[in-house]
Amino acid sequence: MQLDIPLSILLLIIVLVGTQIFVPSIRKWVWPAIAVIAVGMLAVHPYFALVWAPPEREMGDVYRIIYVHVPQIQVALVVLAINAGCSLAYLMKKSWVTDALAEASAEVGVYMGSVAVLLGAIWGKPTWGVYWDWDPRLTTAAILIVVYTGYLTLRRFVEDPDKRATWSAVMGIIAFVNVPITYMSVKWWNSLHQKQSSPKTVDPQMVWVLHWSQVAFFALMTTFVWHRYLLAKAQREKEVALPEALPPARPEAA
Amino acid sequence: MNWLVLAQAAAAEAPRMGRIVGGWEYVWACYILTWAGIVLYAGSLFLRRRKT
Amino acid sequence: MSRPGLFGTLLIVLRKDLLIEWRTRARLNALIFFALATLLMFNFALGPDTVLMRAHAAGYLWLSILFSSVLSLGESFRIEMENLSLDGIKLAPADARAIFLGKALGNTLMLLLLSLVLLPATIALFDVHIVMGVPAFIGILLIGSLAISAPGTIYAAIASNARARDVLLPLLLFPILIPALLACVKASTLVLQGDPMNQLDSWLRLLLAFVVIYWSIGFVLFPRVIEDD
Repeated sequence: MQLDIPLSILLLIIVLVGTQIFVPSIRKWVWPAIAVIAVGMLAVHPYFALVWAPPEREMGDVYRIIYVHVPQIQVALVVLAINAGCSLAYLMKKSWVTDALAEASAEVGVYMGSVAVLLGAIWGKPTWGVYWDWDPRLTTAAILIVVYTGYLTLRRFVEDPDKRATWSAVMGIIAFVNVPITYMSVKWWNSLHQKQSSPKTVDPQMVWVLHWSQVAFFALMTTFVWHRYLLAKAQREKEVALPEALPPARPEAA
Repeated sequence: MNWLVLAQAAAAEAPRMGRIVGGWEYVWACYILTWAGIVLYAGSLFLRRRKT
Repeated sequence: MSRPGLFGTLLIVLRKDLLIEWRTRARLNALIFFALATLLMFNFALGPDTVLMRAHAAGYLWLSILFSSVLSLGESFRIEMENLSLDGIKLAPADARAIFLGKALGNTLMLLLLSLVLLPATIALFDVHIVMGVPAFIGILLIGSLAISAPGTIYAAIASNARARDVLLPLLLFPILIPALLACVKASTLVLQGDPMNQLDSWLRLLLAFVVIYWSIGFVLFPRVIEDD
């Protein structure tokens, strides 16, 4: 499966970042707009994926799982890369923004990644004959989900916001560095076993639906991460603001 | 719900392709799981929303 | 008094940890017995099929080392927590990176010791003989111990300060160690059974890359883990 980044996702990113930086007046409308795009595209997605796209040469109709499995795993990897970036940024310069974004991206990544791995296993039954055949990509993804679940657990078990931010940042970096190493090791370990079967999507209709799916899930991820980020930021403010929340000392107290 | 029926009809009408025939239960399982995930996560965000 | 420098600090921390372990030998003995008991459990669970046992011996050996490592790694920081001696070290003019190196090396030596005790037990219980010779096998044990210690030391430092630290350490550590575990088991199996297709090289290179990457990460990031501000 080639890493196929449709132009529309790049456009979306440019619009997103561009409006945040250059056009402050419409900044706050970007997020609802993306949410609307996500909902709209996802609403028609089942039609395109299940009806409009033709059956595949070797897999018949079972291949249609690709339209929910691949976009979610790709988006999960992207959002976990965002977590890695935030972790690095936090260690270079402390900021509650990067910490909150790291928390949000990890949570969305674990949710979407888990669904993607589950779908991959379900897809395996009719194609491989078993739910799991240690496919290097799927196995690495599964391990990645466990790693980031550990990340979320760590965040939950550390109460001091400062320490929590620093330690999760360290862990975020270790977790992401681990991805290529894990992939290589599982691929070598697996190289004695069977080859994986992927559908050969050359049909332009199929490619189009796949692109639609990728943009739709990317927009969904953006919406989820944004709202989760707001949640995390608010919580951080609550945790850190406590001394300031006390009323100022009254001068007449004698 | 209509397009699910459409999907089956389309598949029945299309020339019999693919070495794997049928398997729609797996496809439905995947799509239902995807949507369940979306609804549940969105729900969790809603329930946790900050009360401003 | 002049600062001891990186290497000097490393030696001081290493010597201190090894001395503490030696003086509380009872705990060390308990750790060794835990490792042996785990290996025994695997052997019993596997049943009497000698062919299977020989084929999977390396896997069970490394799993026993892994489970024991959780206890020994956790211990290396529990001592610091109990006596607040980590604060003492930080106050002294010591480079935090050297503390990492000293602690990680101490953990490596502990794991190597455990694995050396497990080696004869493995040979006896699983009825294996080492085709490539004992020194080669000990080499794998050494690299494997190095591989476990680096992320182990970082995570032990983090977990020792968090809630539910006993559960948190294995939860954080095990998934990270999967590449190293795979490589150690594969390399050990090849050393045990012979390597007709010259695969040992790639596994050793993977292990070496793992060791270099994680010791570097630990060296750079450990100060952030134990900083206080």
